[in-house]
Amino acid sequence: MSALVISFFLLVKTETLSAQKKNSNQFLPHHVKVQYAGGTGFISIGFGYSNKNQKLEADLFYGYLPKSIGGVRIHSISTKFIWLPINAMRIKKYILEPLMTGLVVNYSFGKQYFSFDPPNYPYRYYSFPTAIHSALFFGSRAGVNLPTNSFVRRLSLYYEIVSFDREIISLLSNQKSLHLPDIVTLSLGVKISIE
Amino acid sequence: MLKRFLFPALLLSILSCSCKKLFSYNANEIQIEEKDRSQNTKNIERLQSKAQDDSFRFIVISDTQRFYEEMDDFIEKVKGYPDISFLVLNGDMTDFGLRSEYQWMSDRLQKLAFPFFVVIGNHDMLGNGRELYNQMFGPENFSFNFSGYKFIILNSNSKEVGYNGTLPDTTWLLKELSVTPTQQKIFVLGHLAPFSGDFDRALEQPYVRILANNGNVIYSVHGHEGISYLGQPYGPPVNYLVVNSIKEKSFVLISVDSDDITAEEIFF
Repeated sequence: MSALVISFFLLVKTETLSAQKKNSNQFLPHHVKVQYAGGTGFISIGFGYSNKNQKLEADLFYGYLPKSIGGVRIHSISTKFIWLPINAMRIKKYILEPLMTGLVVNYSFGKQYFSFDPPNYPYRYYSFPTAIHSALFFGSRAGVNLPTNSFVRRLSLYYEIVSFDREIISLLSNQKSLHLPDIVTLSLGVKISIE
Repeated sequence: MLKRFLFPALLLSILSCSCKKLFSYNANEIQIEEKDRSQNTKNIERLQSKAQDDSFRFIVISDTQRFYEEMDDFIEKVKGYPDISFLVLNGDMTDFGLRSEYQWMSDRLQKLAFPFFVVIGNHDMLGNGRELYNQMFGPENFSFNFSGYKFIILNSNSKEVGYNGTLPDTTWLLKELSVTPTQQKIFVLGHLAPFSGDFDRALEQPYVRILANNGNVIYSVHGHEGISYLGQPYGPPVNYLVVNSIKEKSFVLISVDSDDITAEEIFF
């Protein structure tokens, strides 16, 4: 888990340095996000940074899943790395980011999960950690810029189509029996740009 | 302007319709639909309503893990088999103990024309797997009667609990055997065989002695090893049967004809 947090800060360090010129506080996040579903929790709240040309983003989320919805209560943290390969389009007052894709790595807290050393088993007996799950996703985002004097620069809504690592692996070795609809789910979120 | 929003809007609506499950909150979540709850318990009721003869046949498969194509081929194969009374999946139904995997295998088992029972395996206990098993299938240790025979199913995954002496639950097994009428022949099924490297060494001899001393136990049926085996490694009267993984495209057909019992491995 600590590796997950460290890798997040290593990745964002260069980004924050480039943003330093226009922002006196280099640690102030560029944006805050609230997300529904997508493997990061029933509701997850995160903050993150984007690079100078707005093509890369890195976020850190805390997510909560109540027992009444997930069958079990799960606290988790996630890091999300996003690449926006296509330039944002401006349509009247709206800004459309047609494609975003990337990776989410989720860590669930709980004594029933292990990272790499399962209890009672030799190291890597099970070749996968039950506490850590990653997912690939793609999606789109549409937002609106707010007046320049407000603290919030832009408000955007996004959706993502998400697929988890173990489900992708299962599909790859069972292409006659499992299909894309078996392994994809949807997430919805709000990005509040404050940079 | 409308055109520019059309692509994502269309994509969104198509995907929201085509996802089998629209939202997933965490890979370790365990929400289950009502129709998929307590399936072993429901299947016992299904089985009891069947006509009971002194000759019948049942199938044992094992270690289906991540072998969905083999499982689909198997389901197709047994469609042509008449007069199967029930099936037992002898543990490791899943590879990662995840809800999605439990669901995928359970959906396949529900296609069978006859009742089925799922035994818990070590992989099925990973993460929230044990809780999932309990909710989807019922208690880990249970029994049922059919055509004058008794079937005892137990969790024998000792290593998952660090060999703490609780698995297999020999106290429960003894109690279960003691309430079985004499003359009633017994099959015991558990994922790990007592001679498996992952079985609790301190419980191997107690388990073997309990079965041998009872006198009515004729078969102890297992999986896990990825091999097929039938023998009496501890001497008579108990036969130890190890069922191969479905990966090897085989299953075991057990035919009971009065007191004559044969176990045959069939490849598909």
